[in-house]
Amino acid sequence: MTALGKFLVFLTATGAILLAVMSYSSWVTSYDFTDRAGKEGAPDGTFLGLKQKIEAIQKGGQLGSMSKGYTDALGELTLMEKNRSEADLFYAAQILQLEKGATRAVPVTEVIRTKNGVELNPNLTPKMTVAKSENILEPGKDRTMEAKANYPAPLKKVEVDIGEVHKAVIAETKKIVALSNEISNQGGQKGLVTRNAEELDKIALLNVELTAMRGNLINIAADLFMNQKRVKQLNDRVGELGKTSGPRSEKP
Amino acid sequence: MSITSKVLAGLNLLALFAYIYLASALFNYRTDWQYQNFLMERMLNGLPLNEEEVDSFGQPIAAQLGPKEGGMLKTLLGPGGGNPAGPTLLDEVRAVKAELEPKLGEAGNPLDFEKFLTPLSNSFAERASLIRLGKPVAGDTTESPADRVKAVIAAAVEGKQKNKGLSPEEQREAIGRFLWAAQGLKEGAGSPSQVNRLVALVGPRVAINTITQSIRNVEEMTRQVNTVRALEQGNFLREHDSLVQDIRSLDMQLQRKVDEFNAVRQKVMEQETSRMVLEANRDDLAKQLGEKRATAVRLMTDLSLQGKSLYENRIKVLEAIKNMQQTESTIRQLEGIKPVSQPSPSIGQ
Repeated sequence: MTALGKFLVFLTATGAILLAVMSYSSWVTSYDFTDRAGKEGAPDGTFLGLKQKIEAIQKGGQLGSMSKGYTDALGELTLMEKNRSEADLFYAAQILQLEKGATRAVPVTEVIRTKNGVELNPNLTPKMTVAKSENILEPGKDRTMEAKANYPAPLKKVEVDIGEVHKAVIAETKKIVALSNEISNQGGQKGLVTRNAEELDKIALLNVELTAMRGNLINIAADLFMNQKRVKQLNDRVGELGKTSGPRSEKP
Repeated sequence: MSITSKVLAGLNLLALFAYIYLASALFNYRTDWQYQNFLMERMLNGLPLNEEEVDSFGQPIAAQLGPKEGGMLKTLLGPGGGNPAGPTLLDEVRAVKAELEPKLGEAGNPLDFEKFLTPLSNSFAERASLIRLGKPVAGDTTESPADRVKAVIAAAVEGKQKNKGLSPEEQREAIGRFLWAAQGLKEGAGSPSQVNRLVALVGPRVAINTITQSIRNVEEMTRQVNTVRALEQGNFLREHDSLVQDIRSLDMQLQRKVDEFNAVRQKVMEQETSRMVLEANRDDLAKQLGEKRATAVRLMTDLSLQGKSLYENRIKVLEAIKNMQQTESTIRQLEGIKPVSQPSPSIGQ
């Protein structure tokens, strides 16, 4: 065998061994990395299984909706919390207004329940007129519901005022009683009416007496006149007798 | 060597080369398929947890992924997936941790805590504690945000949760939660590119579990916020109604007092009128009494004068009678008639 022959034989043998090893190795591991389905009991290609898993995930549609699902849920949560925060501020403001009232120019408002939550009642905004009677807080204006804190002071004031007018009633009553006593017979004293009546009686008596006195006076005057006339007549007679008889001796 | 031998040897050699060519071609195809399998497996399972994790062939996975600047890692993360921190999940976790630590330290911004922990919060109490910036609320037994962040990082980096070791699978899930929470601090939290990156890093199963749980958590918190809102609204309405009733009561009380005040004031005014009438009456009666007294005095004076005049006239009458008696006596004397003694007149007759 020539050297070339030997080399070729060696080369062929080596190649054969190499191919044998590769074939053995391939047989031993027997991995089918392809996406082919196994036939006659042979296993499927591994890529097929992986591909099927990926396809199953894709068909599930979860990955596609993950982002939207999460951002939507987060958006809704954020919106709810924002709404809650705004609602809390609204509640706090309303309660504060009811309790203390920012100013008297903004009287108490009322809230109503709506489909979107709770909000101010547009029919009562900005004030709730409860009566048209006298408004002692703002005279001359319709009365409105005030904040709770705005009531104690006027209540106290009106109570003081009531006390004052009650005192005035008592004082007036006393004056009226005193005046009544002064006028009529009360309290053991003679009133003006009685004193007037007594005075009137006295005047009547005096008038009667005066009338009687005048009558007497007239009678006396008449008597006097008659007497004086008689005296004159008698004096005239004396004069006549003196002329006719002269000086006469006195008979025994 | 014969010619035949030479031809056979040549054919043999040719066959050898053919076999070598075919074997190498097959090897290349097989390698390509193997690469595709590996890539697909990574797509399904994500990056290895650490350098030591091996594939189904017992080969370290990280070593097979190649350099982070290119190759399979870039392919896995896909376009827009950003740059990989390394071939393992722990590389990624450490990089994110380094990035987060300045923001989520003890002096971190509460808003960052909230953004980070929102996907992980699974109760309203925890959420409330986040929103209230870590201030304790009634019934809230959750950890502080900083402690919660530390726990999440420890579970992801060290594979420990409450001093208990986690299995590689549990640690992978912890890493998924950590990475998903970390994306909350970035622009476009929950965007498709961020979801894709998480899927590429931890695999779709863990990513889906993590994000689904986050969605459930957020939905549950939304439900709880709604419940709390309804409760708060109810409480507010009750408090508001109560206050309105109080105010109405006070208003009515005030109005009654005002009415009472007005009634009493009206009575005072009526009394004043009565008093004035009585005063006028009294003054009138007093005046009348004065006039009557004056009249009485005048009448008395008049009576006195009349009495005096009567007396004087009587005196005069008496004198006249006396004169008359004297004159009559004188006449009788003159006529010689014995005078008859007569009683002397008196005033009283």
